[in-house]
Amino acid sequence: MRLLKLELHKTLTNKKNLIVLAILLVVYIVMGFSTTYYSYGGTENYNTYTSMVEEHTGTLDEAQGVVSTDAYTEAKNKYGSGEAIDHYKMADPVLKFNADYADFNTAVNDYYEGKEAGKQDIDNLIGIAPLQDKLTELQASGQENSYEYARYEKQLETEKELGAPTFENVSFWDSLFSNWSGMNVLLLLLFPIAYFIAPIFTQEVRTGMDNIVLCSKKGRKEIVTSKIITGVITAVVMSILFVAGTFIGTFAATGNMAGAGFSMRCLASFRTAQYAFTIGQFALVSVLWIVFIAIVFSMVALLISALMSNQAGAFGVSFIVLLVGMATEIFGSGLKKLLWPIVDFSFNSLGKLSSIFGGTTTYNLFGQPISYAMLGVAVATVMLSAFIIFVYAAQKKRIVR
Amino acid sequence: MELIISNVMKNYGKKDVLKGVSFKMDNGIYGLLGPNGAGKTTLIRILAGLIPASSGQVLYNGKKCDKEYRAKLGYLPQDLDFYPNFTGRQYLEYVANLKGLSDVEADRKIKELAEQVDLTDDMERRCVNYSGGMKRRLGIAQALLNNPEILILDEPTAGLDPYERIKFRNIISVFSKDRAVLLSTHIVSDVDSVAKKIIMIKDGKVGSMEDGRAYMQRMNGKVWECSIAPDKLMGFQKNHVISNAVPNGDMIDIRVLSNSRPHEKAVNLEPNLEDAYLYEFNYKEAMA
Repeated sequence: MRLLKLELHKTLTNKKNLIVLAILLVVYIVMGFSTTYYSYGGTENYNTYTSMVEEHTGTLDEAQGVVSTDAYTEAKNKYGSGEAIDHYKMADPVLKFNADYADFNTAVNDYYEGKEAGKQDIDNLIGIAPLQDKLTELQASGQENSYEYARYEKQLETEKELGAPTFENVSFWDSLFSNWSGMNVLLLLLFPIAYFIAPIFTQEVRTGMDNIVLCSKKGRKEIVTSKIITGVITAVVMSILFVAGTFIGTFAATGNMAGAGFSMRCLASFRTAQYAFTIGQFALVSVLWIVFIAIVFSMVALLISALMSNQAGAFGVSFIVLLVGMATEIFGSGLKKLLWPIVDFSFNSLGKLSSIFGGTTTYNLFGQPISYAMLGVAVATVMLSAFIIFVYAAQKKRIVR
Repeated sequence: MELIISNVMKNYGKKDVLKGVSFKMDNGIYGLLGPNGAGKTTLIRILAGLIPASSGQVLYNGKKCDKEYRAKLGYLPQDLDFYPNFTGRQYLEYVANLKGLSDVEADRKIKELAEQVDLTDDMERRCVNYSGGMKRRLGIAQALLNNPEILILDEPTAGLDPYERIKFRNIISVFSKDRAVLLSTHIVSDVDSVAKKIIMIKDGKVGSMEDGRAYMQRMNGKVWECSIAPDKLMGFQKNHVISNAVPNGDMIDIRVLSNSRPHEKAVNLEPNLEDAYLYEFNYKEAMA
């Protein structure tokens, strides 16, 4: 226990690193606050926006859907799409409301009719009607026992159970999940974790302590256990700081946490989610997921630290591991299909809550459809176990150079 | 307790660093002497289990070195720095834990060793701020934490002042009563009076392993003293091994190692271990 306490002191609870942690917490709070506050254009705009949302909550009002879609289309024609219109949405709460309602209108239409022709992903169909058509087609061709049939049948069943998305005032949660985006997880959580983990083994080399550690009774196995637990605690502490900091910042900007009891499908990025979670439940699942991914990455960084002799090198290689996932985003679709294990299970992908929990992607596991999240848990667990074993093996074979 | 080093070889690629080292150790101090690059540190690292031998074996009480061996080993490496955030006490607590001491045992031992190495008043200071000598003393303390049966010390007195060196020597002398100590050093006087056996290692091989007196006896009649003019010193040095030179008025008194009388006025002196060391590693080569 004392070994663990001292190991933690080296890595986390010393004065220097406590200051770094405090700075990170401030960064998380400021980021949570600023991204939320400015995306609504300040408190007055936020209040106008939420009062408009409150007036239109519930199932789709088709007339309002048409009005909002027309207004938003007109604005896009005038200002341009993408970042250009985002700027105007911040300044104009009415435009933001119309944009969100138009998006909701599209999501409801997609729920029933699927995407417009040409926009539908043929590998991941969505919409009640396209799913029914596909199942009829598979039945007609005698493929009722195929994986594809099982998959779409299950999806159709889930879609019917969950029902069409509804429009609710979930601005706090939308902002919070936007702060927990894949990029933020990658750069503001996993990257700093690499900074903290990199010296865990490399400083033994730098200080010459390897000489003492490796010839001591507990220097080949027990110390690794302490270092692994230290890595895990570091990842958990930093994840909690990240989640808590962004939560505090987002709350400070919105002043409410309304909407926790609504379906997670009310969240803008999770309209096609296949889970019957409320937003509150999903937030808890998301926190656990972020902590889990942080732990898995901490073990990757720990293994890199165990294999290298230089702290800066270990930090750099850990960073490259993170960049590999980001680099896959620029791959063409053919390359993405070929390298799908890397594309789908890099830390860049595993950190994206909207991809893991918000889509309809399934995998064929021995003929059974398995969700992205489930396979993600399995793959990450295997990775975690493998990296832990590798860290033990690396220390067992370690020699002084 | 018996430690057998049997035909240990170590090579890095084509470079043979150890070429079949064999000797046996039981209780007492063994001095390991040899010039830079002789393979002392490589041998020590193999004995400490830090690197594997390319061939040969090290047996502790007839068994291969394992966790049990590591539990009974104390090691002070040549270069040792400390964790930047640790106090002296935290550092020793950390090493005590690595060595498997219970918390109570560790606290007792730390207190005892801190006194022995004169660090009691500095135990709450961060050890990166210690002076070189204090760091070395802290290093010695960590090596002794587990009451090791085998203590391996690589240049333990580097950075210590004369008083500290004598004190260290006394600690090790008492300690070695029922334990084996392997002390590698360049400072011949560190092992001169305390070593049971001196192991001279050269070019990856053990040249000889005898007690200090045997080395000195072999030097009888080979240590000389004479006075020469300063301008002749350089020329004289080309053909002889000079172990000491002291100015004496217009002349220089020199201590010379030579199989035959090096100067017509040279007189024989009582040899010491430093003479034997120089003879072993310099004279034979110079005369070859």
